[in-house]
Amino acid sequence: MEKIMQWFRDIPISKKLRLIIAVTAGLALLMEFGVSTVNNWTSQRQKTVENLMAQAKIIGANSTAALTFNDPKAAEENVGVLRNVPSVEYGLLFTKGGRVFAKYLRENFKEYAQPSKPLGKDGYYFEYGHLTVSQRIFLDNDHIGTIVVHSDLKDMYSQLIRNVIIVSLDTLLVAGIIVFLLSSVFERIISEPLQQLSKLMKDISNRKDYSVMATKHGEDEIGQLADSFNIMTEDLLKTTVSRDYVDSIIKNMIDSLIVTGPDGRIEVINKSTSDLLGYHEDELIGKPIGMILTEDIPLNSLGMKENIETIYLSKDGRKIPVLFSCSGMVDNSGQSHGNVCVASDITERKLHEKEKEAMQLKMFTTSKLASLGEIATGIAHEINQPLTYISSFIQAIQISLESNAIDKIKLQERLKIASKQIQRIIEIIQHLQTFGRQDDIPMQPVNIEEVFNNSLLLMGERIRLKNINLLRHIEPDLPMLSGNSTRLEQLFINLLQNSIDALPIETTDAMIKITMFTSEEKDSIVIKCSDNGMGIEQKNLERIFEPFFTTKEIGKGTGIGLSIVYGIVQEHNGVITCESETKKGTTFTITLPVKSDAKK
Amino acid sequence: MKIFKILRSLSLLLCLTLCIESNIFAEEITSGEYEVKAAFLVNFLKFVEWPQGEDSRNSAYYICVLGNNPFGPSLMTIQNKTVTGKRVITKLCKEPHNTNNCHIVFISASEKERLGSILKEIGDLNILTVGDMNDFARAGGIIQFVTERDKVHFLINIDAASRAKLKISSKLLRLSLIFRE
Repeated sequence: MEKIMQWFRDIPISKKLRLIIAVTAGLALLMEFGVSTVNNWTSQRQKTVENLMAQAKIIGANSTAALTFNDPKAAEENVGVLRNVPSVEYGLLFTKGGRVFAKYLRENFKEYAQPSKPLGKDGYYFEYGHLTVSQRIFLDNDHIGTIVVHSDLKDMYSQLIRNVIIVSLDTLLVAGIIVFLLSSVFERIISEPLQQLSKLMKDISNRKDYSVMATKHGEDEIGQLADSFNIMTEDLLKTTVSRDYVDSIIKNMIDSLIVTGPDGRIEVINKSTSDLLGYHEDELIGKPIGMILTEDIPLNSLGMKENIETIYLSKDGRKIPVLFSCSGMVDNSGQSHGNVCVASDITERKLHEKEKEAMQLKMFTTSKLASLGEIATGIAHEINQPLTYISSFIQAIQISLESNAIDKIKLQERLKIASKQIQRIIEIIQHLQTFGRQDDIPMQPVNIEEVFNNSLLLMGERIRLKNINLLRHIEPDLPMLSGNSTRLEQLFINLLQNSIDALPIETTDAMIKITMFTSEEKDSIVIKCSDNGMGIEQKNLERIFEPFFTTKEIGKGTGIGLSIVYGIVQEHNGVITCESETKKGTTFTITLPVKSDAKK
Repeated sequence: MKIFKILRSLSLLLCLTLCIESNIFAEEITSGEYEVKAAFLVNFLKFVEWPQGEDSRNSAYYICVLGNNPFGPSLMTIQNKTVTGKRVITKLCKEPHNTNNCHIVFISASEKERLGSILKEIGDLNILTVGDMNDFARAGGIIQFVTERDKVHFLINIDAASRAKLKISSKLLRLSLIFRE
C-alpha cells in the first residue's frame, strides 16, 4: 500500500488526474452497474410478473364464458394460448370450487407439482427459479374460477443478463470517452499551467532573468501560485538589484573591506583589498585574516575596533600601514557571524608624518644652534669666570715662585679650588657636546629637576651677570617623566632665554621664578616659569608660539624659540599656556604627563 | 337430545349450502336439462348487450317464457337472481305482444306452429329470442339450444342478433355454433 502511495506521489500530475478520474469513474460505474443490475433485476421481475399476470388475466377473461357455460374444450383452447409463451410450463384453469377445469402443459413437461388448489387470492410467488401466478376470474362480480400460470425464469434471466451486459458495455464506453475527454480538459486546466510554471522556474534559474512573468490562467490555487510566483520573482528582481547595488558599492569603495567568519577566516574581500595586497581574491578567501596582518588583533571579541593603526602584509612582503576598523556582525539572536573590517591605506600619511618629523628634527637642530648662538655669550661667561680664577691663581703662583714665598697649605687650598673650576669648565664643555649632538634619542625616564639644573649649566652665569634673581620652588621627589632630556633641556633654555630677554637691564628687581610640582591628580608635573618683565601685549599672545614671530629687535632673536617650546611640549603630550600682563610679567605654565604615550 | 337437534340442523344447513352451490353452478346435464337451460338463460344476460331502452326495462332483467313452461320449478331458481346489479324477473307469456318488455324470450316448443309469425313480430324488438326447437335459428331465432351427448350447446344466428340490435360477446360466440342466414 505504502509503495502504491509512493508511486502515486511520484507520477506526474497529468497521470494522477487521469488516474483519479478513471478510478472515480470506475467506482461510479461499479455503483451504477450495481444499482442498474438491482434495478434491472427488480424491473425485470416486475415485468415478468406483470406479463404473466396479463397473460393469466387475458386467459381468465377469455374463459369467463367457457366457465359460465361449462365448456372445458373452449377453456382448454383459451389456456392453450400459453403455448405461444415458451417459458410457461403449465397453465391451469380452476373452477370456483377448485376443480381443474382446463389445463395446458408444455410439451415434454413431465414433472410438475400441480397445485391442488389455487391461491386464495390474486398473487404470485417465486420458487426454485419459477414464477407462479394465480388470478381469480370474475364475471359480473361473481368469482367463477381461477387461472394459475407457472413459468420458468430462463427468459427473464437471459433478458436480465443481456440487459446488464448491454448497459455495462454502453456505460463503459461512454465513461471511457468521458474519462478521456475530462482528463484531457483537466490536463489543459490543471497540469498544463503547472508544467508551464515549472518550466518557467527552470528557465529563470538557468538564465537568471527575473523579469519573466508567469501567465495566470484563473483565480484558483494555480492562479494564486502564479501570483505568488510573480511576487517572488519581483522580490528576487528587487533583491538582485539591491544586491548588485551593494556589490557595486563594495567593489567600488576605495577602502579595503574584509569580511571574516566567526572563525576569523576571510569570507569576502573587495577589489581594493586585492589591489592593495596584490593577492587574487581566491588566494585570500578561506584563509585566516592573520595572514595579512603583522600584528595580532583579537577579532573574535565582538566589540568595535576603531581606527587602529596597524600594518598589512602584502603578497610581495611589503608592509602597508593602514587605519583599521572592525566591527562584529551579530544577528538578532546575538549570535556572532564574524567581523566586517575596513582598512584605509595610510602609507602616504605616514610618509608625510616622517617628512614632518624630519623637518621638525631639522628645525630643532636649527633652533638648538640658534639657542646656542644666543647663549654663546653666557657660555663664554660661564667659562670665563673659572678661567679668570685659574689665571689669577697661576699668576699668584708665579709671584710666589719668584719671591719664594710659597705657602704650601694656602697653595693646596687654591689648587683644590682651581681644579674645581677646571672641573666645572670640563662639565660645561662636555654638556655642550652632548646637548649639541644628541638629537634623536628615544623617550626614557627623565628627572626633570636634573634637566633643569643642566640647563642652568649653560644659562646660570648669564642670569647672574644680568643681576636677575632666580627663584626656585621645586617640589622634592618629583616623579620621573618619560621624555627626551635634551629636548626638555632645550625647553628650559628657551624659556629662560625668553624671560631674560623680557627683563629690562636697568631694573634692579628683575626676577625669574621656576616652580615645579605634581598635579593634584598625580598624573602630571606642572612647570611654571614666571618673570616680572615687560609682558606680552594681548594682541600678540595668540601668536607667540608661531615660528618666526618675534617682537624683539632685529638681530636679538630668531623668533623660533617659543615655537620650539610649543613643539617640545606637544611631543611630550603636554599642554602649554601663557598668561601675561604688559609691564608686569609673563607666566608660562607647562603640564607634562608623567607617563607619556609620546611618539618616538 | 338437544345436541342431536343442533347437529341435525347444522347438517341440514351444510347440505343446503352445498346444494345451493351445486345448484348455482349446475352445469352438468345430470342436474336436469331445463335446469341447465334456465341457468344458461341467466348467463346469457352477462354476455349480451341490449341497446339502451325505456326505463321499465332498465330497472330489471325480464326473462319471459312464451307458451308452455318447460322449465318447471327451475324457473323459480333464477327468479330474483341479480345480474350486473339488476334483479332477474321471470315471466310467463301466452302471446307475443306480451313480451314487449322482455330481454330474453324463451319460445317454448309449444309455439312451434306459429314460430315464424312470432319471430316476425318480436324479431326486431331488441329481444334475445331463445329456443330449443330444431331449426329455431334457421327460422330466425337468435339462440338455439342444442343438446349433444347429454351436453347443452347452443347455435347463434348472428344475423338475427344484429337485426334485434343485440351485441353478443365474442366470448359467448366462441363457445357456440354460428349460424348465418
